[in-house]
Amino acid sequence: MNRKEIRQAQILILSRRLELWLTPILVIAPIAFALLLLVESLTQGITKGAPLYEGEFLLGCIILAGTLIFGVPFVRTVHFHRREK
Amino acid sequence: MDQKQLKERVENYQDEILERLLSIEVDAHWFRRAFHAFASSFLIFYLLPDVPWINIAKLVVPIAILVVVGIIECRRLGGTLDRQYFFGLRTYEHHRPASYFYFGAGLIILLLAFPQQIAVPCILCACFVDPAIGEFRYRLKKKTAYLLGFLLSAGFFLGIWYHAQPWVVFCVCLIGASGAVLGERVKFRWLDDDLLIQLVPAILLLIFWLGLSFFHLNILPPPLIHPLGGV
Repeated sequence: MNRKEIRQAQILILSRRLELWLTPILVIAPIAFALLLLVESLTQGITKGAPLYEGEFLLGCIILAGTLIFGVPFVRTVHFHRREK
Repeated sequence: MDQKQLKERVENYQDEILERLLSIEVDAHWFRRAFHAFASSFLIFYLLPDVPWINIAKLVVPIAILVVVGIIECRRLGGTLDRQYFFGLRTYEHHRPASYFYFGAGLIILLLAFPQQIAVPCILCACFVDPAIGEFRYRLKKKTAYLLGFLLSAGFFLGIWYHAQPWVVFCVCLIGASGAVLGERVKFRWLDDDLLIQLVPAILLLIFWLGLSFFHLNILPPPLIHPLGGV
């Protein structure tokens, strides 16, 4: 196999490993959503004085804590495995 | 440096990146746990603005996603889609729909058919209580794991329903948490716990709510998540 073919084969393998592409989304999406809830509750709840938004604050905290509890060990298990060529 | 040397260096650099990417290894156990937690971001459904065209999209998009996932699962089970694409599948999922399909189905049923006050804590149970019970089971006795799972579920129901009357909060915590643990505990060949942990407490609470509505008692607290753009 020449260099070009090796690279094409590597790209094909990489494209099939969906877990690699999903990994950043799995961690970032819930954290972003939790932060959105927190910001929304703080801006609407505190600046406009609407007590209804305290629920969003609570939910944002639950999602943020839950994601960190399961997301941090997950990220820590992602590692580079040195392979022999 | 001439153009040929520069091209060689760029190619070497690309090879190195490819090699590095291919050498990344992901732990299947924690991948599944993180996938559960990730599902909580679908609660963004309730944050979408209350505008006619978005309301139509709120109905169409989840159903379309479920149909696409269903087709993917049919292809996987039929053998026309390589199992390599599905990372972290358990052995018992090789010949039946995978957990993520059941999770998605339960999630969409809750989002579309149940009031937010019932759907949100049930979805949170599937996102966080299910993996938490799994972790507790590794480290503690089975009964202790389920007891902690019950308390965690009750905490979620308490957090979402705290605006309701105290007796209602007590009943909802008891019914919801029992339903969640029951949904997680009972195992069926063709029904996954990811579906049951969402639907069992939701159906029990729906019966409770509708039953009391029959006696002109409205127990639902105000919704927790408000569409963007203000109440």
